[in-house]
Amino acid sequence: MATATSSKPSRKTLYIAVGVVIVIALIAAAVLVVMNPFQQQQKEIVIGLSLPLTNPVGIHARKAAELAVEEINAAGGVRLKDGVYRLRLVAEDTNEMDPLIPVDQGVAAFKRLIEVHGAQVIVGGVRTDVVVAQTQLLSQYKIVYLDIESNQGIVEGKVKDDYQNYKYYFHFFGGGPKSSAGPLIIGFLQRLKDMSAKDPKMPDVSKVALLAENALWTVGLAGRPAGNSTFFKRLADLGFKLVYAELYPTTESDFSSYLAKMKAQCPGVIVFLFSGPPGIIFTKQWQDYDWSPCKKPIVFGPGLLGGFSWFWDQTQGKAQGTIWWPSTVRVQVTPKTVEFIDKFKRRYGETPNTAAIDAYDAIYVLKDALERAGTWQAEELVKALEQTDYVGVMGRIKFSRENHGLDFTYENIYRYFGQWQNGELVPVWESTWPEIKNLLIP
Amino acid sequence: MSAVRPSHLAGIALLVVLAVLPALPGMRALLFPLTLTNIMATLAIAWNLLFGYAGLLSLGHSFFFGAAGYASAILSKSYGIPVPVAMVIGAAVSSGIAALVGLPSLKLRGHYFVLVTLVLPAVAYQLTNALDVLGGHDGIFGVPPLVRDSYAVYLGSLFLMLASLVASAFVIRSRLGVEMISVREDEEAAKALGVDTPRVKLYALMISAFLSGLAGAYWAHLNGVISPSVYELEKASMPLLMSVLGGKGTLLGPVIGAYVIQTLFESLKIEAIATARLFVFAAATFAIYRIFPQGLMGVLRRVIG
Amino acid sequence: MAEPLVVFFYGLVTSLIFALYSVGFSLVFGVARVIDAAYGIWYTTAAYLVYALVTRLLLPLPVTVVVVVASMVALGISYYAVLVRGLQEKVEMIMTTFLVALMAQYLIVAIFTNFPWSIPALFPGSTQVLGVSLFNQQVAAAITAFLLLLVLWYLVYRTKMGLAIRAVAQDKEAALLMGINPDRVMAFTLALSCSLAGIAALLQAPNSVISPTMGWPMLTLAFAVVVLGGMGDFFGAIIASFIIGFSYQLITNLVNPLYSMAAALAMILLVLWLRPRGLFGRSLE
Repeated sequence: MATATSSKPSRKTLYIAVGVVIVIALIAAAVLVVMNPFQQQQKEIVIGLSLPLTNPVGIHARKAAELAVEEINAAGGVRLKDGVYRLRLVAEDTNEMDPLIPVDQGVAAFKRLIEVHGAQVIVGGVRTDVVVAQTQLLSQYKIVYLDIESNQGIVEGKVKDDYQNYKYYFHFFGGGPKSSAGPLIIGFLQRLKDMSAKDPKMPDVSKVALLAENALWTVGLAGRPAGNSTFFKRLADLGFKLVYAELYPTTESDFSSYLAKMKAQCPGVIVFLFSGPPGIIFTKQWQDYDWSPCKKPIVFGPGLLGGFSWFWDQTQGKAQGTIWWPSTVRVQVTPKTVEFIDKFKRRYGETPNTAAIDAYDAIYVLKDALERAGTWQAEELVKALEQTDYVGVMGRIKFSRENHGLDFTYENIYRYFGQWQNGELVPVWESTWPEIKNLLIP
Repeated sequence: MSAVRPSHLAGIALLVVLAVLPALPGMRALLFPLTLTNIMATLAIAWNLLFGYAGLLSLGHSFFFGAAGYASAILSKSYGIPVPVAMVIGAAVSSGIAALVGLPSLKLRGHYFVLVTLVLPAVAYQLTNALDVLGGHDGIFGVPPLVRDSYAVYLGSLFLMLASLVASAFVIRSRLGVEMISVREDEEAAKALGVDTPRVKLYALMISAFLSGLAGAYWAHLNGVISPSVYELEKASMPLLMSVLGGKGTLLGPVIGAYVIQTLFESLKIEAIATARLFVFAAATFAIYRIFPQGLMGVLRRVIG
Repeated sequence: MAEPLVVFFYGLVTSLIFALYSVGFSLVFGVARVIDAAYGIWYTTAAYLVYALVTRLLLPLPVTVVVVVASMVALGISYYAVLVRGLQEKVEMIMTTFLVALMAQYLIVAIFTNFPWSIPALFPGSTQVLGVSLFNQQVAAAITAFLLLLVLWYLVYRTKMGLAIRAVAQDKEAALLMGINPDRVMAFTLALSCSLAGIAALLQAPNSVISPTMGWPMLTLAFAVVVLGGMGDFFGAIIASFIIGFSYQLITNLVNPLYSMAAALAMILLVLWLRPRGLFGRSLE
């Protein structure tokens, strides 16, 4: 249309141009049809990794997945009904660790994994909203989704309520109904309170301050408005007093005002729920803050990054004394735990984070389920996954038709609480220990 | 539109190729990226109508895109309004807000309109983040789809793009279009000739916001989710990038720009440059822009002419 | 309760830092008539430069300060000479500077990943003033910002270079006739604004984290200050920074931190509506 408004080109050249365009389009189409991206490579199972690939969370998960796939292929691959298959990884970047990045990049990555790369199983997931958005599509694609790092039970709940559409989802991280953080945290706070009652050097832990990121995953624990949750009602019943509660925006860059308000109440412990960069700022500022005349409160929280091996460097060592759940403490939870942590460290030079452990276990659980099912078809694979009872790096993983998530009644690395002490995450409590050990008072 | 021109034939041929291509066996992988491309092209067409013809530079079209997406998502999810109706109402909401915001700033000359449009999405981002009624930080999930079949969704996006193209062609050839161009060329002269310049600018803004809104609503129903990050940089800068790269102030420029940018973006999703992918994308876009500052449309014309 | 004091001190600190990084932008806008969409990225670049020098090359901090400021000046001048100088119309400026910002940002992602890192403080710890705990780094930042603003004022209003800057801002052609070389003045202004961004990063980033996208909110803020204070208006920019800084702290402390940024920005829309030429309606005299 627009071309016609310019000076009149000769009719002949136009026809030629049109012809050329159509021919090129047809050739391109033909070439693409020949190189059919859907064409199955011989005897291969494609695992699609949906991860934030420029972020160390995703980088670690990917490295761990590569490690597992290499080991499995080297040991002879996966035996299905119609022969031996090799595993192959493909990855797409969801960029999800950047809180400013839209959820749709996660959805696009998910669709590309299946439609472009022909993935037959999806492993990945970090940010709750991205996982929720992606899993809406599971029934449409009929594909198994192994969630390694989102810390909410939202989708596990959907498996219960809407089994037909969500049965494809399995969760390898805490936050589900049988792996919820609430009871663990209450248990820890209670021990901490008992300890502070005996130790005059400690701040008064019965006075609790709550600071939480304003994001979906904190709704359950923190409540809306902040402090209005069953979790805090339980705490109140146990003799704790909530002296401060506030939500902060995920774009926060300075916590001075929050700290000033907190200090006015002299809390003994700050329950801090974070998953993004502001957590680092808060930790640094809490450490540098002049708390007098109060005692410096203990910082403790379910914060995804807190228990990662970089957190120490990220805060320039200001993380000293902070306590995090979950954290990758170097403890022999199962015979495989320390072996994996050391193997990963030897190969990549870094202590694996939770995402690495989850991804590694997820791939092995998948391998076993594939062999039990004899096929990668989702309907059978789901049934096989539901029979999983596997002792992995993190602990014992047992799924059933009713439970597609972790169960903390079995031993698990995520029952441990780690405190940063001079660059090491030291285990200070495990949910079966009667009392806290090795605690460093800040 | 008198006689059938060869360029029309070429357009129809291209359209048929576009419509049929993803339906061919093995081409399904193209469906989603091409659907996104059509939506972004629609947004670019809307932006270009405002800047390329009325001379109003907007740095915040993500606002009109996102606001309509939110409105349509809420209307269809919480109030059960049929999706197509919700989309139109959503776009109308965008258009209405545009009128409200535009009215005072359009009377001014210079950079003020630019500044207002820059601040708008930032306010919207912070507000939707803070308000639970709007879904808060994580946005709104479970937005019902327009249709379930992804090929039908693709055809719909193609139709949306085409409809916006026809609509803007119609606007440009109308009296309003002539007035818009006169405002762009010389506002004082236009005023002297009796053109009601604030009114012309307002209409241009409202039409542009409406088209952007349609694109945004379509996008929300495509993804089934919409979150505050829709207001961020990417959606604000893309229409500008696409229109200028394709050729601003030309009808087909934004479409060409959208296809080039998206093709570039998709084809860079290869293993070898995993962490540097976005850098290569930005550098390539920069290079194309510096080599063809007048847009690819101009090059195309020169080649054909 | 020490709440009024908290708002006062934090408001003061926040406003002075806001002023520091918007004055440079405002000058570039007023003098070179360039909408520098890459302004935020200079802040980011400087922050990563500090990070690389301190934690990777292990340079002592004073050396780092010198290196950072010097490289920001060099960056500003070459940015002007290579790119900005040839820019003519509005869209070209925005396109070019924006694409430069994108390239720089993604280069940073490629080198440092998009994981947030932090910079050690020049002035660690905190001090109590009238019962309010203030971070030493923030106090130092505020004091430095105040001194720098004084120096800038002297530069713009009391020196020959300042006269030239104001002349170019008012009328480029007339300045040329008076024997001023606008090219040199503009190069100087860009070098100045880049080094101000660098100093702001040195002062403010240690309190926070560094990430590849940290510059964009700065750009929005600088824009807001220009809208409120008027283009290229030195005092307007400072007063606008104080208005935004204090309203931000007021809402954070007395209402809800979730609304503070939205409210501060919405206020700007309101001002634009009521007083479309900015609060003071003048420009650099």
